[in-house]
Amino acid sequence: MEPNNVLHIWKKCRSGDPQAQAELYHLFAPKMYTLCLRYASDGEEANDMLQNGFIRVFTKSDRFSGRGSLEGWIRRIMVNTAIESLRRNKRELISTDELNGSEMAQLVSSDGDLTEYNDLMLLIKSLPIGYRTVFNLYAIEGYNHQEIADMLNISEGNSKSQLSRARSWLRERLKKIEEIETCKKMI
Amino acid sequence: MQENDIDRIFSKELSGKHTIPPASVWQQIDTSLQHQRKERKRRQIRWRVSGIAASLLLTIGVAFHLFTISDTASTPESSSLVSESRTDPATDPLVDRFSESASPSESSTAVSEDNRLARTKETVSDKPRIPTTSPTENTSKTATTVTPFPKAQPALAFQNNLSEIPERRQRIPASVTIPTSTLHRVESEEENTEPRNQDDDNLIVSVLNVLSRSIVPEGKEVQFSNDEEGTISIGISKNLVRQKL
Repeated sequence: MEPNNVLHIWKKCRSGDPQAQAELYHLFAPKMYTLCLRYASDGEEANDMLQNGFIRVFTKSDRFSGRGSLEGWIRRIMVNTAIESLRRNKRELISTDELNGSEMAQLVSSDGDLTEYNDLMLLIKSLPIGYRTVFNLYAIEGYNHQEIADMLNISEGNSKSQLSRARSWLRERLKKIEEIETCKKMI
Repeated sequence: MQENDIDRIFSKELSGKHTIPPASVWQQIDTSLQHQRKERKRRQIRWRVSGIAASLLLTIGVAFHLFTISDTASTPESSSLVSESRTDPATDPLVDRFSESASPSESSTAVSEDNRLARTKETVSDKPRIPTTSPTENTSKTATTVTPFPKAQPALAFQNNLSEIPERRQRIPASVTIPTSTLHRVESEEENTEPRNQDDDNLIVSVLNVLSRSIVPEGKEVQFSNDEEGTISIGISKNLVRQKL
């Protein structure tokens, strides 16, 4: 549950108060923009996702019953908006890039200082769209495979294989980055 | 590195982060919301105007209906007065002429119509009234002799009764007047014997009748009706024709 001041702002938003809408936007937009950036291919697409998502939040505010978390509800709307945006832009939500997972896994090391936000964002963005969507939904948003299959209109097995390939792909990239870092240190 | 490790690394580093979006995004959202607000207001105004218009129409319709009912309620009295002035065959020379020259072969409705027209012209000139029948006469006989518009009467019977009028005139004292209650009853009997029922009228005919009454408020001067096949016919009262002529 959100603090009382947030719920107070939300009540005003439901009655269409423009000031309250601006406050709510500035309260949640930074978090939601990060989410949109993870799904979008570029900044322009992320802006569109954020814009459409918040318009939907304000116009369908009566659908939030108030029982659960307001942030969780807004996040879910943003995720759905992002998926719809990808569909609208005719992006293929099932990637067919062939990756040799077992070979790549041997190259991955558990060491390294690669947890910087920007690096990880770049890695996520470099994923093929299908892998990226499933990985975002499963690893970061916390949806299970059944939910992902329903959201993306794919089979549950397809969701699992997409996630597996996304992980292999990320391991490969992490390995390469780690090698570069090691070379830099040696020099 | 385990599979879950990759998930954990990305989840930990990316889920709680904040990125400030460009200011243009909120401007576009605000513009869109303002447009929607205006559209909603416009829709509300449209609904209110429609509601007020519907209420006004309903009120006007109810008022017309009530006016029609009150008009219909006051019609029998006025029609009886009219019939009283019209039904004076004793003073009508045309009736005498008609009774002398009438024969069963000439008893067409056109003649009787002309007769009625001429009779009404005479009554307008305020001639002294001489009663034709005694109060002790049978009501049914009064109906056949005095009825101004004998719709259901056969023409032959009307002619036969007219031929009896001179004899009665001799017997009736000049001071006796026709009881209006008798005339009222006859009028009402005639109304009851009308074949048309207003319930048979469809919606269009009802609306046309209401409109005609609103235009000609004196009474049922113009009467719309429909038959079983749906043909709508217009009945124009003789009064109106006379006025126009």
